[in-house]
Amino acid sequence: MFGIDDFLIAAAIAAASAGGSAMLNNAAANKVAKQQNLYTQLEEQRQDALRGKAQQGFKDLLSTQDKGAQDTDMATQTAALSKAYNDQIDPNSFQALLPGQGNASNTVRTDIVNSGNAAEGKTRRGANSKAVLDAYGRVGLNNDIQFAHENQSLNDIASQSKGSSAILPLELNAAQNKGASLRGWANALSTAGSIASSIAAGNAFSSALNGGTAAASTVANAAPSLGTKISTFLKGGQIYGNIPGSPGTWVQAVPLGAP
Amino acid sequence: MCGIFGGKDKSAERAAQEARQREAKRQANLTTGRTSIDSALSGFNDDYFNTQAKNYDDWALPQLDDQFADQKKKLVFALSRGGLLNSSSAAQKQAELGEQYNTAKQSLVAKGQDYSTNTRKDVEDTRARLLSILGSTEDPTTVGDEAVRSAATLRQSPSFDPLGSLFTDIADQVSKVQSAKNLAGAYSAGGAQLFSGGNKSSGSIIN
Repeated sequence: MFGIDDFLIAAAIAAASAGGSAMLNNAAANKVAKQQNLYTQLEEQRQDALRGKAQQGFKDLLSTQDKGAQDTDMATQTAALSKAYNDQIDPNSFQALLPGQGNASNTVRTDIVNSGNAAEGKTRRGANSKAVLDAYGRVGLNNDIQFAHENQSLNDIASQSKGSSAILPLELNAAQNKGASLRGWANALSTAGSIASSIAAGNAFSSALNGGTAAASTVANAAPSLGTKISTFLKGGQIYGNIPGSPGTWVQAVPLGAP
Repeated sequence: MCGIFGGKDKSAERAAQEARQREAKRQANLTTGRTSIDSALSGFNDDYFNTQAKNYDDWALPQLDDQFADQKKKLVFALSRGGLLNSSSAAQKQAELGEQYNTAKQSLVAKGQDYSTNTRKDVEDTRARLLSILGSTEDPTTVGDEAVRSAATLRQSPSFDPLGSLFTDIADQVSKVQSAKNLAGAYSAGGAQLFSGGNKSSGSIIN
């Protein structure tokens, strides 16, 4: 015959199983959260590095686009072009005597020099003006090329960012597997607890049918409470507190997982 | 395989690891491709572009010099014909021709710079195109081959436009002016006239 001691042991197993199951589930959840945090942090670090790279590149580009830098580039290009154009000017071509002018009068010679100088001055002024105009084109081209390179660099960074962030959901999903063994043990314990609870309740009921009025009464009072408590355990609830409406002293003997 | 306690299923982890490896491989491919592009186009630097400009100058400036020499000869002949070689007018025309010559030289040098600039633009367009192909295909080998081909195309010498005549014909102007002066001189001296009656009378009295 199933005695009260057997029943207490079964109930104790059930309660302990429920408590262990909850603890294991908590531990498993912590493992998952920890792994997910790790993956998230790593991805954030990668994204931060890429953002930093993009910002630095853009900052560098902007530093070449401020007025000072543009003026410097303009001055450099103008000077280079002005030199290139002025270097082409041949002073002799303006005022060298033509064949047959060997016996020209001084007046004519002076005119040749003056006209030549005037023409050369005009040509040099034109060269300098042309240098300024053409320098605008060169500075514009330099800017276009810099923007294009920066754009290519940003595209590259965006591609890396997109590619990396697309993997994070897979990693977070993989993190769910962390603590799977613990969850398995928790489920096993929970199942064992349920079985023990069922055995306890079933045997108590059987005793009552056999005339064990006191035992039946105890079981009748205790079984629902125990069931409620186990259910609480299985839901991962608090594992402390009194069993409500339980008049039986046996309940006090069950180690209900005082915190 | 999943055990009874669910601890052995590593498929999700494997999938994540493989995805991370694939991404690393993709990035490595892109880096390799970019390196190939940069390498293929590395020869297109300032020296190369300056040489482009110089090539044009070497081609165009001698032609200009030839044209200048011709114009000078024509001017001397035109001035000589009019007896103006040793005159202030000759000095002026001479300076004018010099101005045309030197301005044309500057224009040609600028055109050489344009060829250089256009080559630079072509190189950047090629770079952008190759990077675009790389972004689409993520295949560094194909892009590397294409980069080498493109670089070879860029290195082909550009065909230069013919120069044409770079001078206003000053000698011709001198000749025309001289002809007009001759005509006017002949008219005022009672020489060759288009119409009779140069004394503006209605007729002549014959005794």
